[in-house]
Amino acid sequence: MTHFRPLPHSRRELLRASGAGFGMLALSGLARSLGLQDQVLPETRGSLGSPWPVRAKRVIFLFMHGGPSQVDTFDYKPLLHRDNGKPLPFDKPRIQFAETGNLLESPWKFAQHGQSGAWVSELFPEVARHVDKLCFVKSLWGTNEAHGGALLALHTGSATFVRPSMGSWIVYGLGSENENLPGFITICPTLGHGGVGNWSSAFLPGIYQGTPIGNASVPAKEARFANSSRGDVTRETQRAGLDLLAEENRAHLARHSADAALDARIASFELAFRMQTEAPRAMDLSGETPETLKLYGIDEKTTENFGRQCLLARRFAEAGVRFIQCTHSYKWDQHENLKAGHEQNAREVDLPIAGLLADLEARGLLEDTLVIWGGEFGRTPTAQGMDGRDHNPHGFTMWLAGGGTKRGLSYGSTDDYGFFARDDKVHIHDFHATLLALLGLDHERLTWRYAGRDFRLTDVSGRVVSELFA
Amino acid sequence: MGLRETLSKTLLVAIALCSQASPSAAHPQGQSESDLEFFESKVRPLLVDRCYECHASTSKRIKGDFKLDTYDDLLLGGENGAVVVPGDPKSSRLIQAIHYDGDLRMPPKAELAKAEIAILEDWVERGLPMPRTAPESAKPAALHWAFQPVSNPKPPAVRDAAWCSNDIDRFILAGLEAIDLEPAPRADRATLLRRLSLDLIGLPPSPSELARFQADLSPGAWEREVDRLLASPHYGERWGRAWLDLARYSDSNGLDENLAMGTAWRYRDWVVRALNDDLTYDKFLTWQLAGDLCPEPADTQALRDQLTATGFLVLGPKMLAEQDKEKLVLDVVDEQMDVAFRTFQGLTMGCARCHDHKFDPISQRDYTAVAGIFSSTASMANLGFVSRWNERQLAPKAQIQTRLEAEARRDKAKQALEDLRARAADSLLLHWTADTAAYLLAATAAARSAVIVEAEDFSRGNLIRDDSTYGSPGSVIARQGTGGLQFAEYDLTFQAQGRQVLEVRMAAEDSRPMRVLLDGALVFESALAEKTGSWKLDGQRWFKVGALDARSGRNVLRLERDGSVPHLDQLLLYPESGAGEGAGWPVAGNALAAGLEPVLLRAWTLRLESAEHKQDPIFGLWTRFALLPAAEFEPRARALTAELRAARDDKSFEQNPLVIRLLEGAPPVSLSELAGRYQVLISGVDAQWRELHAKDPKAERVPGEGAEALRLLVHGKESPFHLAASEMEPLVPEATRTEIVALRGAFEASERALPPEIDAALGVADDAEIAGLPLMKRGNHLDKSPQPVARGVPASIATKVTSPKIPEFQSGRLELAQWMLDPEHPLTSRVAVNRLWQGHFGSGLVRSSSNFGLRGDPPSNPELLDWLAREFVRRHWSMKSMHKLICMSSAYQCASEVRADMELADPTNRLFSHQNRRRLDAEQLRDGLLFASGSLDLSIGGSLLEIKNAEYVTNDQSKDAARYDAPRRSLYLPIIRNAMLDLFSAFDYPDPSMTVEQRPSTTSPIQALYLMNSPLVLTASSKLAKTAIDSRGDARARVDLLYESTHGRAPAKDEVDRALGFIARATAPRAEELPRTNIGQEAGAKPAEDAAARESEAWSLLAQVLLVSNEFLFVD
Repeated sequence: MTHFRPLPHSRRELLRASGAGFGMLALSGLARSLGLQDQVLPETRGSLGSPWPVRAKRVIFLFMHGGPSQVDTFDYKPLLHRDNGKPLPFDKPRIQFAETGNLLESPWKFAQHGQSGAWVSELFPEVARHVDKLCFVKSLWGTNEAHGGALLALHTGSATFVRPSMGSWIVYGLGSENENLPGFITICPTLGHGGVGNWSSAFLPGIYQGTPIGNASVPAKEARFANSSRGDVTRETQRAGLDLLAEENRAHLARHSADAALDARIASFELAFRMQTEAPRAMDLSGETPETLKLYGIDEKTTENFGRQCLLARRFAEAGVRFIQCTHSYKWDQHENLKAGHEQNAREVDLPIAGLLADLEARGLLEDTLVIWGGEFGRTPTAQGMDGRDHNPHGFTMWLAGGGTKRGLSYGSTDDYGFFARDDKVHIHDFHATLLALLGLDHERLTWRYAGRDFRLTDVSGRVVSELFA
Repeated sequence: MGLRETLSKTLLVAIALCSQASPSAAHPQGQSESDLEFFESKVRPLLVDRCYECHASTSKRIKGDFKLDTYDDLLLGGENGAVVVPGDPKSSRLIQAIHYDGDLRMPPKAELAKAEIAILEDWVERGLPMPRTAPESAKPAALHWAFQPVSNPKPPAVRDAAWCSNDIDRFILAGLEAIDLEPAPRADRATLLRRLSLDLIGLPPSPSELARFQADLSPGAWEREVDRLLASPHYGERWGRAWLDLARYSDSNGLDENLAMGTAWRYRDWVVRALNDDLTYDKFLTWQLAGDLCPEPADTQALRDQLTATGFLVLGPKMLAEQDKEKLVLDVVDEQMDVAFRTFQGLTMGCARCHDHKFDPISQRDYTAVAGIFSSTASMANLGFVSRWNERQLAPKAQIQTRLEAEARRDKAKQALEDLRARAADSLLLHWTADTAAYLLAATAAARSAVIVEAEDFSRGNLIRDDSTYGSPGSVIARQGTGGLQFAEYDLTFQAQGRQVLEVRMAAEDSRPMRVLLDGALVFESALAEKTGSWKLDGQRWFKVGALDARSGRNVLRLERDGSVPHLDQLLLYPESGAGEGAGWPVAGNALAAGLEPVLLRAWTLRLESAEHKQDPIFGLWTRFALLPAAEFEPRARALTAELRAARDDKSFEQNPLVIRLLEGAPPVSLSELAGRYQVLISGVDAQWRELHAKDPKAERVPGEGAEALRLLVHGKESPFHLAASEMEPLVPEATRTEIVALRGAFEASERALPPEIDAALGVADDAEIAGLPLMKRGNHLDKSPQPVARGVPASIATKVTSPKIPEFQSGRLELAQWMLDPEHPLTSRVAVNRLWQGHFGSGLVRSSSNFGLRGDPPSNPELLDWLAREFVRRHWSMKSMHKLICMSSAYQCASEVRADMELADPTNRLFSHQNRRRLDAEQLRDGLLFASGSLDLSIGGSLLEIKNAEYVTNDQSKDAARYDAPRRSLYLPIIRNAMLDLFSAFDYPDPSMTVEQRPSTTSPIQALYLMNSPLVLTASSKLAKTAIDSRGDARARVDLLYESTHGRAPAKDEVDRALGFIARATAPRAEELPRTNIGQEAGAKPAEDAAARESEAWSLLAQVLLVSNEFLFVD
């Protein structure tokens, strides 16, 4: 019911909640967030638990909400062109979102790029310049053919039940590198299709939930943390109020026996005051050079919004935020109007993404920052209506960059038409296991005891696709 | 684990063994059933109680390598050899030891009672009757303490009996005395009343209540407060909210399709009412699982309550758009079972969906048996593309039937009306189709002089384009921005000066009249005030605004309104014809003369206008020819025909296959000749369709390539011949119109005759297919066993309870509930009283209050738990009675201070030597802020959700339609899954998708930011400050008032000094201008402009400090 449960204020209690397995690793993060680092073991990451070395220290997830088409972007299928208009020569999935017709060729030309010779369609001319930094996974697959389920599966590993988001798991495992900012930030996330469920910490402590900046209906320019400032008093006046509060609270504490919760509360105001300074500073782009703004496309109407998101992501990464998500809002869902729709979508993100990759590389951040690009599923190579493609969770493409992934690799494949993942299949659970491994976390040991069971991001499956590692 | 715990645990183990011993279990020859009965009833409990701590396979360390589990164990003896000689007590070392006769003295801590010694002697004498080996079925899991019957412990003797207010205290004190710990002293009276008040009603006491209690030193004062608060209608709100955490209460579905569950609030209000009425827990449980299966009560309110309670089963989040509908249903069943068993049984059934439970004695077969009960229950109303949950009408069957019959009569009348309208429309259509060529020609002429603008293509404005209308991709309307003046301006160019008629197509559910201005001058004060029945596409209608005096050249047309506007779609302007009233359309005289209908002509004009801009597979060809100048039509048409033929062949010009045939043969000689060809084509398809339909009324389309599209041009909803009923009626013949009026009258009368609509609430029904489910390998519904598992209960968790017979034609939910409520059921009462305890102490006797299984925590005071469980049943499951019992105990009234010896002996307060300090939860915080600032509205019940049932609460554009600004208690704010109020998500409000046994209580900077900057806190602070400034003059008195309102006490001397010092500093005139703003903030904060503003700012800050201080946030 609804009463205060004392904070886990001993190492023993922490361990109890985090299970016998991975708990120790996660401790440092949890403890730091609660201001309790003195009360737990010194940082033990690397010495306990995970067989994987730390390759990446943080993640930037560029989420393309709606489901971009793999066969129109990065998964080149010559046979799809040849057999345009013919029926798919094999069975379609048992469950489909809608009925689709015959094969529909891509309206865009593909060409090979870079040393790696990776195929990229005309939709991504700018990203194509960076293909040698990318590590393509062309054999992803999931099971949910509706947006809501697929979003939740991608973000939490479960399309059916409420589970912590991958960002929450990661911050639980690693803590934040910056005490003055949340460890998990999601920029302009969607409130539909699972909404908060996609960045909630579920049964993990609330401190691991994603902190949203704005939401999909707010332009990136206007997106802010909630309650990050008040405009009615000066900073000094507010400081004076907080000083009085601290005095009051210390006097209150003196009247009572020592209590970690009361202590932590006093500390939290100081932390918040610092955050109040740090967050606007991290989000203030006024100090960026015109060249940087141009690099991200912030000077152009089409690319301004996602460009800002990408630049914010870089700034947060620099500031030590663990998991940053940028969401390109729900536009990739081209059941019809594929040509115009995908063209517009790609134009909005192509330059900003290329800018982000170039900028991270130039600043030496790409080394230990893992960038992920992808949607909740791909699209059918068969046509929906005249000029559309339906949802397709059975085979789609994502790419990774930096963070210890192999440059210029293309891993896995779909069938000849790009419908089903075929070789070296990578399930969403495998993707999660791999993601954690890149961060030096063992997906089987990053657990939390809840309702009598040790839960993990990958449920009871997940294969680390170590072939992707540099 | 303490000694007491261990003993009790093993006692329970023993009882399980006894019940588990199957007839096949081996035991020594010659042992009679009565001997074995003697062993199980007399000996085993004794062994368990006094010996098994050290001498059983379940012991942590087996001492002396000697076990007393089985006959074989006894004969084997220990490290020093044999221990008993069957039939010969005197020679048995065991008997010598229990007599404390010699070196070996057992049990070591305390001698057995004489009677107990006699029992064991008797036992040895009888030849050690007991099972030879452990029965196979007695897996350790089944021996778990929680699955054993509730014991009937007597309150133990204690040294300091005077401390005890009631029997609870004897158990608590005995536990403390066993480790020589003294309980904390009684808390002071102010602390006590604040604790009790927040505990029982969720609100702090008012200053006057505090004063009264502090002054009342009579013996019954505390009890009077307990009674007063338990009788308060806010008690149900406080404890109801706790229950809602378990019931994962929410006003929206969450998961993928976040639809408003617009009737969920009835369940919430029922919970509040049920608790206020002290509905006994047995009924409380039964109704939630099976209220619909209980006998229908005569009292309507009781019936409503019983049905509403089953909303418990429907509240869960569901993947409504899951396209594997079988999976959807099984997931719903799984969610229901998980919540029901965790809530009522403290068990995690969900684990057994895919395999036998790893820890608890629940097999996959058990899971499947229970799942069959829930899958035989209808929880979904339909399994459409986006499925819909079930709701129940809250009325007696007869009343529902009456309403249904009236609805059927209404539907029949409506059908008759619609049939007649359809027949009338069809005969009109036949007539109009014959004029297709005339319409084409007239509309083409009209389109040349008309201006058509999409509403969202405004030149300037602050309206927002919205193309998210669900189910209608591409639909485009303009709608409101964020409030204030809404407007759109259109730059329009006309060839010549003259009067232009303005028509607008829009949808509006409410009347939202707009002002119309032309070049800045107001022309119409209140236009477009009509309501069309919906905001969506289906509600769009054309409305004639009136005529405007337009100049030649550029004109600025402006539509505006203070506040939200109708959903505008298109604007149409055309020159006012001189033909007089009623013509209303720029129609060539011959068209009017030909009897063309203006309203159809408008539709045709729009269609042709759009064909010029968008690819139109039927009129693309027409528009090309229509552009040709009449004077040189023939030669130009010849060239165009050749050009289009070539384009047709290389597929760069695509048209409907029948239309493109119009290019064959001789090129058209005039536009009217081409119009004739179109008419022949369209009438031909129509005739073909009519013939087909006459033969086969079920036919849905015309065969042949391209034909169906042409049929739809005439008969489809998008057809320019399609008219709304109201537009069509004036055009039908007089006789038919009279008939329509009569039928409409009958229909309207049938509507008026409908009995009032019946309220509905989330609820289940037993009208699903009633059958057991098959086993599913790894929980996969695509891999089923052939035979279904019979529906049933997980018997192995309650072996003393007879498993119910599940009726053939009912789901079995009622039997499941009755089984849970069997007085011998080991979990139900324990789980329930533990939750009450947790609510009063911050942690349960069993800390994992929704998991009493093997992975849960053991009880810290098992005897107390069992005693409370028995007491609960003895008190006829009255929850209020248990609250009172707990609140009257000395244990409850202890101070929350932790002494050093407590910290040392029992660092996590498992034995409740003191109260636990707790932080206010999210609701208490908000309610407390509103309460302290005098703005809390304490009215009870009702819905604040402004979204219609089953509408989307958050759409793809991430707009959250819920509102949270009512000053009502937080319990009543909309709970929207996926989009929680920021206060709630910051302050550990549970995820409303999951059943939550206990809220965590974290400390985070996000909370601090909320307390520092949120509008809620700032508003409450300034309101409270204003009260202080307004009410009394002097600063000292204001400080007193602030402390009284926030902390319920007068400030101490140092506090007054601190506060006054702060105010003095904060109101002092500022020597120099300080930097004005927080970094990165756009709007600069102005320092207080004058003394009054500075004063109000200073007092607001002081009020805020007190409102967010630890003394306010924590309950001692």
